[in-house]
Amino acid sequence: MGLVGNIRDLKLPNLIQINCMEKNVAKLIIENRNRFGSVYFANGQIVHAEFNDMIGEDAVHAMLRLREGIFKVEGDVAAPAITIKSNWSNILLEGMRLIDEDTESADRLNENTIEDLTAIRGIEEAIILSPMGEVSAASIGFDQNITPNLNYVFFKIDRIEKLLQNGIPSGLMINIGKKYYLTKMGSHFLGLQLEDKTQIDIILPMIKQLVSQKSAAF
Amino acid sequence: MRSYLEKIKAVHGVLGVYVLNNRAESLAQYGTESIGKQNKEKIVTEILQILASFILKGYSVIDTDFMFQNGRLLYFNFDKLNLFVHCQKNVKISMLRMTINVVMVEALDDKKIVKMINKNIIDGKLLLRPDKVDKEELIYIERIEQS
Repeated sequence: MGLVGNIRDLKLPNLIQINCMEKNVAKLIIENRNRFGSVYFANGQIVHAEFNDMIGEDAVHAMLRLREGIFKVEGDVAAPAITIKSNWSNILLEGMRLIDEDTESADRLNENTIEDLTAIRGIEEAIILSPMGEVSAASIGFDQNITPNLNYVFFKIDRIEKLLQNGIPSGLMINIGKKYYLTKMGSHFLGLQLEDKTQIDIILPMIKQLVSQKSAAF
Repeated sequence: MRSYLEKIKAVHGVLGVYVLNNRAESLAQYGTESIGKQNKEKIVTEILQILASFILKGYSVIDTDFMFQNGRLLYFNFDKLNLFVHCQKNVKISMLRMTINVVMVEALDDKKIVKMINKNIIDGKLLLRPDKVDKEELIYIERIEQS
């Protein structure tokens, strides 16, 4: 039986490095949320890769973005085709450069969105949470102690959405002494801390418009 | 209780008014169950669990307003009980809030209502007990407790 694990624990660049340096003839299989990928090794190089519809170096670069996923290495499996000719280390370096570039533009998008939201009169602070519940961006004054509560609320909103047959929920306003409006933005979650006297009905059209503009990017 | 709920139901756009304890058991209600009885029970339970998660962190929830495509479900802290108001999307919210505030003050002056409240006091965190939530949910609750 080959090596089995999760790329959360043993990173993909390390797996590639090990197989190339040991000159293994092998197939590395990766499964991430029903998406499947494979990387073939021979002669100390990556010779072929597939991930969803991608083939070759693009597939390797896409798999390098995965933070978690089950992997399995099968020895003595030959590649069905040769689609990669670049050196493995160059492929890794280019993959890392692309990730850096993406991260930088995602950071810019998050920061701009927070700025746009807090510019709406009545909104004091804002936070964007990733689908994994991590803080993607937040304004300086947002009380991040309630982040675990917000993640639970978003989990519940998803559940209520499934229960309601007559419509999709657009959001929840909750008043715990401070008022928060919580809604989805694409695959991300948005938490807004409102000023005490803000009436959600008045600023909701502006929030909805901004969220609908930004949703595609999230 | 019914007369108080009737006054809230009289606000244009209000479909149903419900009073529940912290076990999500209905104590009084007036109006239609336009989101379905079963759905209503499940949804208010989900919302009460949200409220409980804040109680777990020492916050008390004053009110919530759950807005969905075709309506709104509002929650108000009614002393130690929970008041839910299901209304149409176009309800005049300031009129509704004002009416609820007046009605709640009146109701809390009524000895019968105070007796009913005292009879139904239940720990606000009850719905987060491990036997009330599933495994997936338990992870979220543990994270809240640890934070």
